Amino acid sequence: MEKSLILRRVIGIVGCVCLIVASFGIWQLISKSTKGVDKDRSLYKTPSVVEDYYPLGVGNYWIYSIEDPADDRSLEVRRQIVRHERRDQQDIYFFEDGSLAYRQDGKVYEIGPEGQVDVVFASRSGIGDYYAYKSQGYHIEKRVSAVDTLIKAGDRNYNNCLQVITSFRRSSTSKVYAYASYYAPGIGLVGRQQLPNELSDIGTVELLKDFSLRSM
Amino acid sequence: MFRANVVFVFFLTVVVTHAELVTSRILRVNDGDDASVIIEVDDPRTLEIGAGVTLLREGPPIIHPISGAVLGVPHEPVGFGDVRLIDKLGATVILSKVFSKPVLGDVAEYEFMLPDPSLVENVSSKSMSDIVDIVHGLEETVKNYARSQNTVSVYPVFAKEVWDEINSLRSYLVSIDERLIQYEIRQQEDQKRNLQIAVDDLRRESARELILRYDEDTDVKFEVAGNTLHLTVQRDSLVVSEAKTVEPDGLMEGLEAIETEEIKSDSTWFSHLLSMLGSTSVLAGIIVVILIVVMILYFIKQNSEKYDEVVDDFGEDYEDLLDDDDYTMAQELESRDK
Repeated sequence: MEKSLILRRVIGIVGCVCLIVASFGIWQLISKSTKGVDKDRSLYKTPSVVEDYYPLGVGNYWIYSIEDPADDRSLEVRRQIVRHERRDQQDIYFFEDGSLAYRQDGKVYEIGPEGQVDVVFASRSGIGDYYAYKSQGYHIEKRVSAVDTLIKAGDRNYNNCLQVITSFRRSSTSKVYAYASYYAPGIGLVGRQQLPNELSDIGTVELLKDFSLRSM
Repeated sequence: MFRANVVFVFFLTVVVTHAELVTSRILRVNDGDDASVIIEVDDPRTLEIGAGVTLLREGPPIIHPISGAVLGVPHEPVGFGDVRLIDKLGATVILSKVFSKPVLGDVAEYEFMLPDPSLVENVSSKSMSDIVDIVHGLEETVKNYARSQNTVSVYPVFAKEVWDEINSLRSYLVSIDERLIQYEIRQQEDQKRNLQIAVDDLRRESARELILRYDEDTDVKFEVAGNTLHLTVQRDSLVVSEAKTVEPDGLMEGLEAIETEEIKSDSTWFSHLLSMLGSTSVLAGIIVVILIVVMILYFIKQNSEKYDEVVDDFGEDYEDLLDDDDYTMAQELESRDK
């Protein structure tokens, strides 16, 4: 009688131990599979919207491939911020090609070596946002026409791009020319295309080939 | 710099302009009626009734942060309208669309068309010179034709007949030559086709093939034809590759995920231990199930022994019950009733 009791107790203890070990193993397996799912979700989840469409920082560079379908020519242009200065409480970033840029009122003002001014909607903008200015005898208008454009440049896809239509004309004429620019959040200009006009159906296409942002 | 290049390439494409824009200022905003303004007009002949006018307001200038030079002036749209009246004071513009209340000093732009007399004169003179050139060319052609007619008329008739015969012979020879060339080409094609058929038949009869899979997408083909061994490396024409998608803001998260994966792959002893533990645990679970089944069987067996004991006790009671006389009589009564 005592032997059977001992045997039953031993079997019960062994069973409990086995149950505990099995439960631990099953918990490990479940936690492993759950971790994998979370990892996949983190890879493909919708990115949070970064409200900077033109990140300025020393060391940032962008390499663009410019193609002209009419001439079958291809040109590669590299733009890199090489220097930073602070003047009158304003951060000024200098490019290696001699141009400079500064941020003001949610826009980035980019000034070329010869004084050309390009204004970029750098902060989060809505469809229809408008900015017009006159510079060097040209009347230039910029309008946000889309905020969720998908651009494929090279082997990369850029989501939620800001599409800005720039139209310009001489101040004394009414003939208007236009091009579309695409800015990816957190990256900057990823593409630009001349819009068709009376002289040409297909214009110059400029796409981001490579980039590096120190802030990333 | 490239932005400037692109922009200036666009600018340089402007070749001909048919319309011009004139810029002026608002002289007066009509009281009580914001939708009407009077703009300055230097030359009334340049402005027509019904011409469109755009009103703009200049903002704080865009200044170069280092040199301080004024590089541009922002223009905020104020409204659109058309000219209804032109007098000595200026032009009255009725605004059809107003974005903000116009004020004195706002910029007004309007368009006007002016034919360029020098351009018209150039076009007419150019067309006249073209017509004169064409007439001169036609005159020369007629003269040449008349001259050739005169030359032909002086040829003897016999010489003309011989010339015609030679021409017919020449055309006949040319046709024969073309047919011979066609026959020759056809014969060569037939020879090539027959040779290819013979080679194919020979190869089909004697060839033996052995294909080895060398890599995931590469085969090595050994082909024996007579005393010749053909060794061919064939790659699969269809290669499946995963499309790569880069989320602009998910780059860092992706990189972190990859780094985490690398770190996890480095710590192999822990992952091995966990996997072994997991598999062992499953095995243990199976053993537990078996043990539980054994325990259940054991308890069933124990219970059956207890049942036997109870049944034995009950049998003894039942024997006592059989000895009871009342019970025997009751059974007899039941049998009689039946």
